[in-house]
Amino acid sequence: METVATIEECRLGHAETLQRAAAILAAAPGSIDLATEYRILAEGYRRLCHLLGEAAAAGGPGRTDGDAATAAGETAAPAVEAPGRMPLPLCMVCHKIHTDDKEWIGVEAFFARHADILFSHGICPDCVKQTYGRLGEQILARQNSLGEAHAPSRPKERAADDSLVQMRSVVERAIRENNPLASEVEKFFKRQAKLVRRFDKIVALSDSYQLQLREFNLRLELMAHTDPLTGVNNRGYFMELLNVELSRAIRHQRVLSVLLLDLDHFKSVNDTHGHAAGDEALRSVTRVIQASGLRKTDFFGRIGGEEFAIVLPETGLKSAAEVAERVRANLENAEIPVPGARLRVTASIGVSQCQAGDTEDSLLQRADHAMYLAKNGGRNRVCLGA
Amino acid sequence: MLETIDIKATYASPAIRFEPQSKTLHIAGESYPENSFDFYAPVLKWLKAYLQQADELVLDIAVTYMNSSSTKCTFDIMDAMEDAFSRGVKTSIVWRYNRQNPRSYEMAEDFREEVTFPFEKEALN
Repeated sequence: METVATIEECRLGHAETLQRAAAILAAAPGSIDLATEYRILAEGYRRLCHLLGEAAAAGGPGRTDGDAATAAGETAAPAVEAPGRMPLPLCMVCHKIHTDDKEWIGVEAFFARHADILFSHGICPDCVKQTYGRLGEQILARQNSLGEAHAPSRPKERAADDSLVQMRSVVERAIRENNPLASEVEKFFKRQAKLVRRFDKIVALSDSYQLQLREFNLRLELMAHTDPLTGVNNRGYFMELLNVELSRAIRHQRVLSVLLLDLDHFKSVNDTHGHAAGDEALRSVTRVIQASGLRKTDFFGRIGGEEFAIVLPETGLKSAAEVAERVRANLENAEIPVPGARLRVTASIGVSQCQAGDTEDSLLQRADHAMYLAKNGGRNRVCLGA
Repeated sequence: MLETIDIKATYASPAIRFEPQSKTLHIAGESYPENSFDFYAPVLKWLKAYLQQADELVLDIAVTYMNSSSTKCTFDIMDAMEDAFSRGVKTSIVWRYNRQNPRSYEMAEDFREEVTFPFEKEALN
């Protein structure tokens, strides 16, 4: 009942505020003391925020949502009070509005800064849940990194079940009136209470199991896309991405280039320094590519044993060659962290640009051909294909 | 003498096996049979009969996934054990959770709350 009263109060308060605002808008300029009105509106808004917080806390879908709404109300209050302190472009003496730019810039800045509070009415339950969910993930991630097995406990209480509330009053009355059935009724009440709790628990557990499945699925999906050694896209996923990007480029008649990178003498790295060193060399290539200033839309993958491919959308052969040269030079200069050795590797890179009628294979084939030219030309160099 | 119980695991249902020496009922695997109530009915029937004549039962449960109806059946099993416990039977549960899955520990806790007899949580891995 309390909640209903509060919401009703909110509604009335809101209506009052809106009427007041409408009156100001309708009034002739200069006939109203804007500064005072502004302050009253701000005060009204602050009160509404507070009421909203209370209402949400009392009758929201869950305690956490209510708490979040109250917290949001409290955070909002100081900002909403700010208009009272903000100098309005209004003359104290003549009550006329200045046409001074500086004043208006101040107003504009204020609105921009507080847009979220001035034009919003709290946080919707979905966003609260999402935020809480994210917090949960962060906590989880932190705990995982600490090797802890405990998840943050989810809220277990829910609003009292209506049937239980009703039954409890019947039980209490029966006991008060010394009804001979009182103990029977109480037994039924306890059984009902257990059933309700059980039901909630099964639903919650079911959710947990489903969530667990979803997390496993995500992990599987990630694993299916990722090369386990380097953590970058594997061949399958790289080809999928290339397919999408190439179709887009051809459809919109845009340019796109591909770099095909093959490590030089990789077999001898493995033979001389061992497979662990070879693995480290591959990871080093990944780091070099990642640090070579690719744009967000560029992507790459490990598409063979010692072979990587980089896709540069919206990039012609010439610019792609510059990227290739940068990668080549950075790799040549990168020292690979191998115990007991100062290991460096080089790569031969072939570059190709998409043409009308290209498929992923034909585009990669031209890059591959250019890469072999680089190999034949003495390795550690970039060659351009068509 | 009561017959023992030995159900082989399938991809969707757990292995359920009673070890008379240790008086332990093992349930292990994943549980989402097409009809959980049918699947668990003989288990529950056996369990209730066993608990009528036994003085001890350990439920060793290592189920990594349950659908909702299996969850309900697990609670039924636990209720039967709780009932026996109140009659003086020494019942207890060893719940094996997955250390790699933080949710799993919390779910074990949800099950634990439903009983008053000893309930141990042990890491599966």
